[in-house]
Amino acid sequence: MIAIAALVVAQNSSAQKPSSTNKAKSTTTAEPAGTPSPVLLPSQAEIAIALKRNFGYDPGLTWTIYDIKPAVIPGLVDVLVSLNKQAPIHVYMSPDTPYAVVGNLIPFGADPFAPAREKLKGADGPTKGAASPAIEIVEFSDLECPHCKKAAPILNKLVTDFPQVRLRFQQFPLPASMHPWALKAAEYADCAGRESQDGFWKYVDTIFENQGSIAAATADDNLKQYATTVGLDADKVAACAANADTEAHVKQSLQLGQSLDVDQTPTVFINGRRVLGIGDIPYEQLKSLVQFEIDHAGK
Amino acid sequence: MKQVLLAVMLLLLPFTASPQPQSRHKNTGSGASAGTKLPTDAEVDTALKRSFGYDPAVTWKILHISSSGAPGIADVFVLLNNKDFVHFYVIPSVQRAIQGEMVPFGPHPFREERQKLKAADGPARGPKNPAISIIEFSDLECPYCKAAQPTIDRLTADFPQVRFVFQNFPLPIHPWAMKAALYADCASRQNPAAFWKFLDSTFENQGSIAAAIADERLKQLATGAGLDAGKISACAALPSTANRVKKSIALGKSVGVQGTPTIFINGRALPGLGGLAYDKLKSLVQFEIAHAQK
Repeated sequence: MIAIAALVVAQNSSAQKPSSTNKAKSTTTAEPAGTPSPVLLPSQAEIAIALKRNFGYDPGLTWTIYDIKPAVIPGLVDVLVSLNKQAPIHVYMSPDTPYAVVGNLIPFGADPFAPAREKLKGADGPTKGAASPAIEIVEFSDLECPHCKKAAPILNKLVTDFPQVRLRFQQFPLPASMHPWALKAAEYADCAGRESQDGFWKYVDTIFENQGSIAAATADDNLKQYATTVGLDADKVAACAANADTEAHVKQSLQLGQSLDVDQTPTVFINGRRVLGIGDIPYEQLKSLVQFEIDHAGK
Repeated sequence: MKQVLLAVMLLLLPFTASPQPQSRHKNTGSGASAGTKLPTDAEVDTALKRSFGYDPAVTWKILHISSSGAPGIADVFVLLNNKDFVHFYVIPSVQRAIQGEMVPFGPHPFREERQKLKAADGPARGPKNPAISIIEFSDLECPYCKAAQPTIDRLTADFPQVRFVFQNFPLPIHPWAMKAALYADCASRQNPAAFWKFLDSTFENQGSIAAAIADERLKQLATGAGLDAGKISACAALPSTANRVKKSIALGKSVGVQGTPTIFINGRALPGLGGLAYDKLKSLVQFEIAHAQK
């Protein structure tokens, strides 16, 4: 129970602020927000009254209400609240009853990953692996994120070990306040991918390799240099990266991720199943998971 | 916070959990839950297999599937890996579940429990028309209940306007707890004042009571408390006494008691006294007095 509760907290820790730091070893977690059901939302004041009724006895307890929105679940309201400035937690309240469930929304059912799989049909990032795959692994990645760098060889090994699997790379650069050159790198990489699939993967590997020597001020120079290194036309890539439609394409990938509740990188979907902290999962266990998903392809 | 983090807290609290924790709404007949179609064991098993089946190390046992009290949401209680008790609040219509804990939440979060606890008829002390009641579900063989008693005594001394009610909740894991509950129930009916002495001395002598000699020891303790041991022992053997204890257990389960001690302050559940320090506990009682009807 403690481990699971800790997991809940760890997973929720990034609910509000996207973060690349991820210590939660989880293979199942919150799933995308679907079409919200019509529900009368309680006001901030009403939530405050409820919190006060619960915690008001202790003057040392404080709370911040971040968000009140309809939950994916019909009739429930999803309240995001932080107690004592700790990581925000989800309170799924049922306005018609004096109860709420505090916890984490997870896929659960006979075919629980179908909604995510359906949305991921909109993923159009560069791929490698099988042309007609049994299942797809889609990664939402940020080129400036160290955990994404760590994930890359693991994912590469998976597509080598499972030739029936296809890996897809979706750009998910975190905000500039966290990763100053991530968006630029995503734009360059997006252009690289349009020039050559093979060049794209080499380019991504090179950027990861050189993460430490890229800075926002010199990002253009660095990114052009690596483009040349991997055999791409650096000027062409740079010109393309400056195009408004390239930015729009990266934003589209970001939005796809957001529609799937991606809030940290790397976030990997294996046959629609969200997997966080891929770098922390023992490889053998990861292999079992991929095999299991191949066995459940389309389910 | 203590309430919200109930999941984390439960194992850290001075609290003995029952091996068969109950759903808050197991027997609810409320209209809100009437429409909830519960998933079957097989359906839940399929879902768990789909989520965890890739890892042969993960095991589960479905303990119960009941209505959560919220419309459309089933409470699936599972023992994971033979050690973690986990609630999945399952919403079959959208193939999702919330893994977490159900807690009272709203402007009047404790009213429903308060209402149900009006049926608490165990031995009581304090004013007849109290500001609020503190109701304890307790097990005479449970060491945490023994440890909680001085705190409760201190609370009732500090708040003379509060009524304290003792409810028997003997756990099946304690071999002589049921017998002690039967004796205690009889003691309270024979002599309400002597009941508290009997309770204290039973707690005090927990270590020297065993199932095989329970009758003998409980009779000694009854005599020591100024009760008629022969009468108490005869009363304890009556089916009507067993029924009274069972009724108390059923009442506890109906308000979600999962282990002992669990106290309700004005309807607010505090398993293991919430793990709260005495000054926090005092603030809480004061707060509940100020919210007596809310």
